Amino acid sequence: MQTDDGQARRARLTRRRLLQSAGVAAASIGVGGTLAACGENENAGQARVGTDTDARELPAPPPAQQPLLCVVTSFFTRAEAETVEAIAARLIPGDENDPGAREACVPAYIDHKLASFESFATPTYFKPPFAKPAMHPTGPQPGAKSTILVDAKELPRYGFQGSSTPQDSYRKGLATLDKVSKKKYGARFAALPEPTQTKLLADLEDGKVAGFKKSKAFFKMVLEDVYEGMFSDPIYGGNRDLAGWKLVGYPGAQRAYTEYELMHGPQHKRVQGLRDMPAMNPGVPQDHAILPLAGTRRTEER
Amino acid sequence: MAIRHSHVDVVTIGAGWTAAMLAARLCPEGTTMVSLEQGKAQWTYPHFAHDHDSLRYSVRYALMVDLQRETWTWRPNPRSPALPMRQYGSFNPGMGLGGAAVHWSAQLWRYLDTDFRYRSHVVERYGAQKIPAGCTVQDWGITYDELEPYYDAFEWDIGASGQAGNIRGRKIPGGNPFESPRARGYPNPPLQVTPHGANFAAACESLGLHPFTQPSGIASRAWTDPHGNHRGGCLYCGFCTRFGCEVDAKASPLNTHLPVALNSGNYEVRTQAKVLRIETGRDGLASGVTYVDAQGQEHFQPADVVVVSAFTLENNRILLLSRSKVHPSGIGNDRGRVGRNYTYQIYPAPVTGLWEGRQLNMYMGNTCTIKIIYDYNADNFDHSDLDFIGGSQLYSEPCEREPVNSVDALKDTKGRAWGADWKDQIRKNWDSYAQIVTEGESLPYLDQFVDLDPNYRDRWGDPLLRITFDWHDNQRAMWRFVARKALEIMKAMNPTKIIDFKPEIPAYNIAKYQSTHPTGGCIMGTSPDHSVTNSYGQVWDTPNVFVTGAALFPQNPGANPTGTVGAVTYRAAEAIAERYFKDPNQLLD
Repeated sequence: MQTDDGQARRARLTRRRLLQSAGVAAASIGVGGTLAACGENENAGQARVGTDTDARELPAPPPAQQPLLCVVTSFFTRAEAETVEAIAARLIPGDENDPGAREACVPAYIDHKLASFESFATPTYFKPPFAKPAMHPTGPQPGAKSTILVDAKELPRYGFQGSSTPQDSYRKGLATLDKVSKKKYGARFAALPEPTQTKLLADLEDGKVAGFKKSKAFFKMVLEDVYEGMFSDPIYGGNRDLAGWKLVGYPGAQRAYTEYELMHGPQHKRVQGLRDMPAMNPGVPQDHAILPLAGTRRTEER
Repeated sequence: MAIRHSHVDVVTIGAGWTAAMLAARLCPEGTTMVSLEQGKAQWTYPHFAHDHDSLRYSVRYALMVDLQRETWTWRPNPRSPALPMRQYGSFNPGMGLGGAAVHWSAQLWRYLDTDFRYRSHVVERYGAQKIPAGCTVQDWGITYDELEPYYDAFEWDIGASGQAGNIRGRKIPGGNPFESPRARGYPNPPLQVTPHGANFAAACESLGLHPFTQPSGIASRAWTDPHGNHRGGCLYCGFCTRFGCEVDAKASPLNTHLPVALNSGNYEVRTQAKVLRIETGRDGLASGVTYVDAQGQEHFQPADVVVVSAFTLENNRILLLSRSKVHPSGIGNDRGRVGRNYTYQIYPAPVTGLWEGRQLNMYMGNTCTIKIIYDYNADNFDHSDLDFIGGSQLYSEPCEREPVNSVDALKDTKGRAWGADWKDQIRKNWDSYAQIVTEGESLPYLDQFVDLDPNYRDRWGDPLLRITFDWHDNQRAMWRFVARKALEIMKAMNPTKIIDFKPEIPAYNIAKYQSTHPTGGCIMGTSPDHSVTNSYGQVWDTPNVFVTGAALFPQNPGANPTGTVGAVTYRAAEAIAERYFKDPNQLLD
């Protein structure tokens, strides 16, 4: 039997996660004002209009209710969670007045993601042979079984060629990070002073850490996950209080912009996520809007 | 044991736009037709009612082929090993009812008169020595004038937006002065642009160039098409490419041809039906197709005509996998032509400017809310003293920017896209930087082709398609030229800083998105010695098999393919309806 087990599982998990996070969304709708209002100043008769409109400079919204579920409980061990939090806090630093990845619940986003996907969250072909770097040019190698040799200089052009799942990559990578951190600086990563953490992360990105062969790939994976957690819709658990979008001046999920707004900037927009935006056809249950339906003939469906 | 279905006149592989166009033309006249779609059904309502979700659609590619099932392998040249594109990726083929035309950008072009006579034109103007060694560039075997009525019909059927530049030879201000003559303008006015587009256009004009708004398959206002489909006008919502449109402003099969086809009562789409191969009878003609359903059950769908109407890459693979006693190397491949003349497109951005303190509203609008020049595209400029042929569009960076996949475009002084300094960068400048982008020609070469991979297989055990592709010297020289032009324009746009300039084209990288416009491999032409099909997409060696889509293009001009895919399909549909059915299994003249 050949079925889309993975896909179905993913869909179920997505549905479950959305249901879980519904409570969070309701809470943030309740306070309504987690959301900055863009362009209000024009109606108020002030001078700043048009392309000068800047969401970030507008009056601060009232304080948000304490976020729910900003805890790491699903995939990471306590020690791993501390390391991930420390990394996230260095990648997008912040404090309570200027939220960074930690304040925006990015570690919780990554934790949820890893717990929700046994394999990859993004579509991934994961069959052997897997690439192995060689120090010289190699040929086509028909009949290759588990590995295939590729010139290390050319390998980056082939994109992601990893042979372990994100769950395994985090488990192994976090352990290796603490190992090299202890060896070089005498303490686990989370316990290092912030400037040392930053230095070690830069070395990971540059692939310059002895004893951590795949540090570049590990760093890239974590950085991408931090971006996802910081800048994706809050229904996925990160971007708490829309901190990532407010940081860059992005109004989020809007239904429409007028032709005037395209040229002159947003008018009367509040920063908002999907749950704050009415669906085009609110009569249709949300799950239907988000999960694909199976079907064949349109005439029968309607 | 395969389930055998009752016979139909036509079966198509895939239920994307070309299948829907054929069905909308043929089924109302009584032709029975089944389309086999590997993905699921999806409709504007309810599926796109609430889809402004970057993570789901742009990061996790909800509308694309699920790479767990199958992917494509790539290598830069025949001497190198090929590896699978394990994650997206250079291109984004669609999966699900409507195919890639649901998530397309809707940049809508007609190719130029000279594009269709590429080899003849270059030889006439510059001599045969101007064509690079190993380059197998060809004429299409069809002219712009022959296609014009079909372009026209397609544009009006899908409610296209734009400003004509040349109506029957009369030049119209504000349109593309380089376009080949059209019978009439677009049904809808051009879309609005953003400040970056306006700035780009003003700079181009100051340099004596000819900017115009991107013609688009997105309706700029409410539109009722000739078949009675009601569509909304564009909301400029900023969730367009990789997304379905919730108001049907963006034309797709779902809001144009599929309703017409389905309402005929003679058309059926079977979803989650993965075609494995075309079956061949003893007479060498196709007898139907074998597919598997979601439960893994095999089916056989007999048909008089098989239309290979999936994405370019899958069309090549299906022909190669359809091996039989009569066609041992696959259908269409009796002379070893399938996979030849595989081409692509040059997309990278040569230059990025930063306008500190200015908001560019890059997150609004869509990929068509931009300005473009054609001055350096095709042979619109004299190549006599240049070391290359062909050219490229230059345009203001497409809009609909999403933070999740764009914050790393800005770096700190050490080149890092993280940390406190970088955070300040994105705080200040995330909506203040913008690029000038190329969309350049890709020529065919002997060492650039697709075939079956010797190592990697799909979920059903069949070999993946292997792509052998890299830039060649002609494209590198062309890029060098247009990159310099882009830099001139950028300087005239007065940025506070130019934060990136690439004088040389970066190495082709399968992991970096370029465009979903792989073309060729099953090309049309005038002779079976140099092509797989005639100009109707009819396969020379198996005349009851037709190929549709960009797989038919002998090379890829500097413009997106969908307009020409539509025109070529309309022409083929007419020929099938009016001539082929009267004299089946014969090659059309």
